[in-house]
Amino acid sequence: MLKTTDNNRKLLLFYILMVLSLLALPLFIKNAYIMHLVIMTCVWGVVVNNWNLTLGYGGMFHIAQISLFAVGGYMSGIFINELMISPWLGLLVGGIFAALVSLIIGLPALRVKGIYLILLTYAFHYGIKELTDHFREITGGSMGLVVPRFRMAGVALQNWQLYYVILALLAVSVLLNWMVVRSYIGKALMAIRDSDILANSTGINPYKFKLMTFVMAAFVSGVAGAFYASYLSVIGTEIFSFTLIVNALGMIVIGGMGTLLGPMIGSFIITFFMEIFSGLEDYRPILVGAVIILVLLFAPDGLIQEGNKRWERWKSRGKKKSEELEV
Amino acid sequence: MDLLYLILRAFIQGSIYALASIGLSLQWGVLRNLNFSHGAAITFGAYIVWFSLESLGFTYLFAFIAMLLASFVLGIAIEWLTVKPFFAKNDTNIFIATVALSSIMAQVYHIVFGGRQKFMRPLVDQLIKIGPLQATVQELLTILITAFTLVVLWFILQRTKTGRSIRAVSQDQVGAILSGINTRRVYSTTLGVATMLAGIAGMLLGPIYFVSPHMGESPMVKAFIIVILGGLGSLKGTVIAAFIVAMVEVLVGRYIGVTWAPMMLFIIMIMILIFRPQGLFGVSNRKA
Repeated sequence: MLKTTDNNRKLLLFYILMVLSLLALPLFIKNAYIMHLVIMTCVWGVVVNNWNLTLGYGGMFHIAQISLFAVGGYMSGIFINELMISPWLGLLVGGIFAALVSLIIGLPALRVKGIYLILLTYAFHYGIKELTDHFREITGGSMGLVVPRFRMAGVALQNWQLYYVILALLAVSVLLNWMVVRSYIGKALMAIRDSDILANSTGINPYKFKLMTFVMAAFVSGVAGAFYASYLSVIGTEIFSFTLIVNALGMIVIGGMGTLLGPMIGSFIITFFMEIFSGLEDYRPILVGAVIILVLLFAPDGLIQEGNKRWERWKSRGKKKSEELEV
Repeated sequence: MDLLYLILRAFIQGSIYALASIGLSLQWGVLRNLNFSHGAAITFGAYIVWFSLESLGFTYLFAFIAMLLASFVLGIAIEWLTVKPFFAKNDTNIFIATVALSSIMAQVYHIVFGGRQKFMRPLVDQLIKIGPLQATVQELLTILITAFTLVVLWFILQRTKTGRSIRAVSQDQVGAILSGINTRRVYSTTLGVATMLAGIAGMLLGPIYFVSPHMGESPMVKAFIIVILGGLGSLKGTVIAAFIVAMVEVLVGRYIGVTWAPMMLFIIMIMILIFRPQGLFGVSNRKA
């Protein structure tokens, strides 16, 4: 009993330290490019965090998260350009449209599961891409859509200021996920994931809970998409490239599916991994793919869990030895 | 007469789709899992034929045989890498592994053959015109090759021991094991055969489109729609659905607009999933 509280206190200390170091990060990073990478890590962190909520906790294996992210970015960009709203309002617009679109795909698609859900969302991904091509007058087609950057009092924000914006969004996203996972919704969701028949027979409506989480995750991803578009000041059709899906999936798998913080660590690893090997331009997708397969083979619960397991085993082995010595 | 021509086009398109999707359906029947590297397998076939023709100077027949052998080996390798370690333990991981593999394979093509589109010369370069109908000989051959492949596949599945064990496993895994079928080997064989079928589709697609690292992806999306429409695991349904999809695509493309064809297919897919999730000819209530 005492030990658990001790553990909890340690964990709390760890979290506080983590938050503080994340807040102080711009003080230490002077290199603009590394700052950019950190921001991108946070952007993908939000996306995979929410994808993981539906995929790891909800058991809905869909690949629509990136498409919803793109919807957020495009809709916010279109509204900013056509209706002259500010990019800050664009964040909200992106979220709302991503949620609306997720409702359109979620209403029919979440009635089915497994392979059907994968296929439907994959087709949906391509459908969104086709639509973007179709309306190229307002989306910019393959040239991309130019989106104004964030401003405050008429001055364009610096990267370190934008870092706090995306960090806030990431924090909201993580907190939201944490609350969902701990609440009745999360419990229901995990029950559905483990056996939807059993969940259904205990009075949980799988469809309702799945849809709720799916739309919520879409909203946050949409906001992240709007941030992404405004931050890079352009969003193009390469957002639909398959590599992005593989990378994001890799982040989840490497960090550990169905864990709260794992995917973000995965996002960090993949983003910087891509950068470290930037000299190997063409070989990067092969490396990422190979890493995904290797992790699936040797650490199916993700690197964090696997590391924990190894650490525990190593610790307990040492203990056993010392006990043996005492005897 | 316009309509007659469109039907001919749909028939040509449909036969390639049938080849591209029947392997997917076959795998689903046996493994109950989705192989996302199927598109990369289609590209693989196209590249092997192109390479044999252009760089090795093979005749079409030898290129074809080389492609069949290479595809079969590739299929067994895919099974060994992505199915064997995860089968019956974690089905999601099979899917993720094949996704990763497809990304790896596309990039390998990119590095080995370059990103530029390659032109594959057709088997016969000639145009046939009968009244308002016109088609290249290559396209007519496509229909013939598809028909021939399907007949051979049907024969293998119905008459040979391997084919019977494939069908047995796809009907009942446990029953198959109990009657002494080596399911392990059936999985490998099935993936080998499915990859061969994908390779043939790639060979036929090559002269029509260009050969490029990602050429297999859009046929794979079509194949997904087709297997859902036809019912996963039902080969008859898959073939019929391939022609339906091609017909819809050609008609919508002609009368409404080319860009609307994918949207239309998507709507059809949603309708099918809502009102008839097992597909037109699928068998429902089997463990998915």
